[in-house]
Amino acid sequence: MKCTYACGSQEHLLARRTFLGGVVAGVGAVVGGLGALATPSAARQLARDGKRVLVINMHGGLSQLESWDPKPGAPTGGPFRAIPTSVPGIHISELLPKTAQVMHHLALVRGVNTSEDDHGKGIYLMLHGRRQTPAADYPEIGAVVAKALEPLGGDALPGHIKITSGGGGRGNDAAYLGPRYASVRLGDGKPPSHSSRPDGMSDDDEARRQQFRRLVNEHFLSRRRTAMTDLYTYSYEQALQLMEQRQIFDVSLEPQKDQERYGDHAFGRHCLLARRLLEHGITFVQVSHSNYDTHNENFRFHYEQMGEFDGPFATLISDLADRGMLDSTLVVVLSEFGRTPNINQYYGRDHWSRAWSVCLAGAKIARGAVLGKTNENGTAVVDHQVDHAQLFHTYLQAVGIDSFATIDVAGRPVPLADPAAAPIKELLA
Amino acid sequence: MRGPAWLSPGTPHSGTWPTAVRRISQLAAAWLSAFTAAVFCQEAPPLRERIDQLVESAYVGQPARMVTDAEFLRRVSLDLTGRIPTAEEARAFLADTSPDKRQQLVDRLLASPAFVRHMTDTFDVMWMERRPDKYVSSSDWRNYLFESFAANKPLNVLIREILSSDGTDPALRPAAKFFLDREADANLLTRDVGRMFFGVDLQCAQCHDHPLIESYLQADYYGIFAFLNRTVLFVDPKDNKKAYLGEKAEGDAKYKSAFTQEEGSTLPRLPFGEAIDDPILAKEAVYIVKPEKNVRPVARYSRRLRLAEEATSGNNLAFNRNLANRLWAMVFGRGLVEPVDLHHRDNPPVHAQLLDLLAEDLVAHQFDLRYFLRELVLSRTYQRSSEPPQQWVEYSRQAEAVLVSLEQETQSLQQAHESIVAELEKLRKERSSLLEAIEPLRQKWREAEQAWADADWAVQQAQQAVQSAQQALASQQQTHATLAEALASLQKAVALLPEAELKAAVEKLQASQKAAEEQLQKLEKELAEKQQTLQTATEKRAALQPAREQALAELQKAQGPLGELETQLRAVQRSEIQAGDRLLTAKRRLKDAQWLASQRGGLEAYAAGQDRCRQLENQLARLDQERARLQQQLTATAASPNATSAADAAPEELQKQLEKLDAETKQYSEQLAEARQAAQQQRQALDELLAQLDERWVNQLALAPLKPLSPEQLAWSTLQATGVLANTLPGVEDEVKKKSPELAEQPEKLRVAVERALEAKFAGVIREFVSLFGSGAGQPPQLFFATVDQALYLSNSGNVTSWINPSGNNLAARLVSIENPEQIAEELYLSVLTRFPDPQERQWVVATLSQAGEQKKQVIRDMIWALLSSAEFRFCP
Repeated sequence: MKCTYACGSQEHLLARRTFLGGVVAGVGAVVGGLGALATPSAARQLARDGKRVLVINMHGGLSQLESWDPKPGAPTGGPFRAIPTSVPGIHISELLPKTAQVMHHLALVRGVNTSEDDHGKGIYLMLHGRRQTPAADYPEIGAVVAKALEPLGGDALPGHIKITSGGGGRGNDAAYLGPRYASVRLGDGKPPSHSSRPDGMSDDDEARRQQFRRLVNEHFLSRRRTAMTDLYTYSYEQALQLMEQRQIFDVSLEPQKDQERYGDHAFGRHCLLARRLLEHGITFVQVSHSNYDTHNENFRFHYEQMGEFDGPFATLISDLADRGMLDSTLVVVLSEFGRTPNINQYYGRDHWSRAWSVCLAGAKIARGAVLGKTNENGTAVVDHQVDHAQLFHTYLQAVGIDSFATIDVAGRPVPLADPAAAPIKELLA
Repeated sequence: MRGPAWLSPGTPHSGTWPTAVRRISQLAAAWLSAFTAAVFCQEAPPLRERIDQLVESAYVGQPARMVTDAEFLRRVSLDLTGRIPTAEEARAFLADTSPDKRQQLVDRLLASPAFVRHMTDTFDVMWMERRPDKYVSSSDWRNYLFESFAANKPLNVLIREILSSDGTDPALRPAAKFFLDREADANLLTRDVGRMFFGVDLQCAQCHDHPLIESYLQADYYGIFAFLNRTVLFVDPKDNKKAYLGEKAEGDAKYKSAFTQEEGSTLPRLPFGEAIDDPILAKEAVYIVKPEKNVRPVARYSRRLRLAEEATSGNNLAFNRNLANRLWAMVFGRGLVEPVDLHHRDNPPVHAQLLDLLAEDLVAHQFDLRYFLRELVLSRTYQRSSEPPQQWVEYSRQAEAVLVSLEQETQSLQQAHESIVAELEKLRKERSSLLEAIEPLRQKWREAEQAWADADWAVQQAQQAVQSAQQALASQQQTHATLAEALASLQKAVALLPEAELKAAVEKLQASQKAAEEQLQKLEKELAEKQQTLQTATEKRAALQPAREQALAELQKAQGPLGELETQLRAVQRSEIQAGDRLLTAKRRLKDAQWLASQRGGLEAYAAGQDRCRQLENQLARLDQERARLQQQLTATAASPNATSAADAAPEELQKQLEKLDAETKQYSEQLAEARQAAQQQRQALDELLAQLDERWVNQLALAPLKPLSPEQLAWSTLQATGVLANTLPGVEDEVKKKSPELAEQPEKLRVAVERALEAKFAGVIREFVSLFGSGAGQPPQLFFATVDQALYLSNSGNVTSWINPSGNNLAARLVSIENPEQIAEELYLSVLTRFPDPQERQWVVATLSQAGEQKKQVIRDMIWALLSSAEFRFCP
């Protein structure tokens, strides 16, 4: 019995896939179609604009006093000076001389108060825009962005990438959006797992087995075809496309000169890889720089760590700007929290979430701006206090996603961002 | 006499349990058993027949065909054992000619250790949702499940153990994983207990009444919460990996709406149930072990045990339905209520009567898992094909034809429901006014009861004191007597032998005896005092007795018809729920039929377009035949120009005819191209429509949905298809026999041990599949997704590559050794897809192999891979 409505052409597959949405519940019901986030035409518009997000996670808790909000001369200020930047009137720590030169691209949020001094809970709320509760899990910013900004018709390349110093594999960070939007981890910047052919398999072998596969599938799909079979069949085509484009994960293909500019260390290479991925249209990339948890010897550690961070970060920002990508790319430099103004007996600073800073750049974020203020000793926010939920709204709005939209989760509309909070208007140009 | 199980052992419960309440629950039980008897004691046909009857009477149009033997074998093997059969098993089953071979197969599968393993996988994932281990190891938990399923432990007993184990009893410690690994978090547990055991996800009702689901109230959420919020996690101070559940005797479920700011509080209450009062215990007696630092608190009355009892007693409608629905979903691929944890008025079951039937039958058969699954998979409904029937237009016409009767049915159901609702409201009003009227009396009774319980506790304490004073006195008397005896003997000795040392000894003994006597007197006095206390306490208790009795009598008198009213109310409530769901099912069906009828124009136009294409194709075929005939004639004429008979036309004539034919062909071809284009356009417009049509067929249970394999099913089936499993089996069997030689004589136990050894052997592979194909921890496991990393793994990983290359006696090795390409095709298809190849597929394999030459090995590898990567393999037919 021939089912005449099955056609199997690629265009048809895509068209059908689109109306059926991305993730399909085991029953064939559609969970979280793109329509939940934006009208189809708006989605197409977003895709065309090529909006992207880069998050740099300063792992362990960056000291705001040795970076974005220095307090030279204050009892809590530590030994480093503040230096002027490319924006008159804005000063940052002298540990960031190159970053100071790109300040006109950046926005500093100096009034962050997240009231959470635990590493795990701190990074959770910064990446999820919500406090962690046992009874509900939410997707990370990367998954939300990958879903909301997914080009219509899908993409072979993963939309949510984390460059890690550890292993590869898939992250468990997409919650109800489903594994399709979970991060693909590039362990130490290496390409995704299993993305090259088994040893001894030639081009011809590959072509032959794919031809077999398509033949077998056509035969079956002519009798029974559903959204799920389409998604499954399509995933093999995506895999082939990814294998063909595998070189975009290979940072060694970047010009030698750029590799030198970014520096011969993991963070530099990861930043260059991030640039490469964003240039190739990857929607979300997260890079980490470790480790800022400086309970001991805060100043020596920050001197070294900031030294390593400053060059690649400033280079990346100017490259994005020079290549015209900064207008469409949001850059966020965040941490799980800041560090105590009080200097402990080991010359260290401890966890401090009451008054710290986040640095933003690109997309709709205001340029060369500072929002919020801490008091003289940096112990409290005195102006424009914001929290993780407001920041999360702001990230989404900065790349054109309606942060008040809801997503349909098995019949329940779940707000993308904490509905009790709102974006920080002052930051959005 | 033993107290109810939710009272911890040692409870002086006599008198603390209000007779009124006891009477009501007795009545309810009597009513329920009468109800059950009415439904089941008549000679009912087997469940499977009743399922089919209900389902088939509701079909609109023709259902999908029945599955073939091959499809049935693959489907039921996957559903019951979690893996596909071997080629050998498939051959044997297909060749079997006995008429009841499907039934035999099902019985064989249900008795296999693979069934037990698959149930272990399924329920583990259902209840733990792949959460990482916290306090109870996954292997302990899975062993516990495995043994439970092997023993066919009734599911309600299993769930009762899971809900009630506190982790202290080593035998039941694994059952406590559900609570312990959720760190006894009351909110998380409220959500998961609601979802997994009652089919309601109340999460959105935690902070306010559900904004979208009218029937999910904040009070429902806190009703379950109140059973659970007193349970606490107690971590062993000496070993932070060991945790137990403790329970406090206080802690109320109070809430405030984040929307309306309204506040409320609730007693424990199950979905569809009534609030459950705590028993009245003496204030001093509420704890068996009082909460203290580093001490596990144990309350005398456990609300959590009460939950376990109430839920699993067979009387809770929501529990029974949820379980029946989840078992149905396990084999049918989707629940009658779907999603399985969102049962509410806006998401009614696709067939309400069927759900009620299943739930009642499950209870009537003591929650017997094997019985229930057996009935489900032997029904005709289960054996529907997943290939959609093609009679769309017919279907649409029939939908139109039944509209009127559906409307009538809906109307009469609506009326029935309305009258039940009216009755319900009347009863509710009666009851609440009665309750209001007796509230002061109830309060008075509770106070009297509380006072009596406190006095009773005092009597018990005094009794214990008297007892210990008596014991102390008795032992002192013993001492005294012994001393007296010794003194008498010694005095005799002194009389015989008056030595100074002996005299001194007598004096010493005398002194001791005096002291003993004093002590005796003191103890006697103490005993008298304690007896006095007991006397006073007993009198005090006795004095309270009349007030207590009177309060109870007054209450009972005032309650009058309350017990009966409540029984009636419960029955009506149940009818209301059932009638309401039936109405909603009917409405849904009516809406479907209306939609379908409204699509008739489009469907007919498409069918007409299809007909036109077919006609034109026939015309063209006819022309082709004609042309072939003419050409043959032409050739024949050309070959023997002299033998022209009168009947034959001249070559010129033939040429002319051919030209005419070509013109005609051109014309038809153009028309056909146009018609095809039109059909194509129509088809694209119809694409969504037809997908929706499939959905409706599936909802009608007239078409089986394609079920994606779970990660475990996919892993086991891949190992089976590639022959890795068969290849490993002999070695594993030898290892098992070597380790436990006694099993060689016990084939049943050996089979179980081998299954478990295989599971251990492939644990790493299964983990890999789970990490790729499984949902994240704590996410609903039924979510389907297809990601690039899955395809990359199946295409390029070392594991899969090694399985599809020849090794030992695996599939690739077997195929390489076969000479005949036809046989290769058969073995390949039977092994991977559990069916013989059709002629086209046969031809395809033969043709490919004939061109392979030196590359036979590679071609076979790639054919195995292609079949493994096909959608047909990924989904259950």
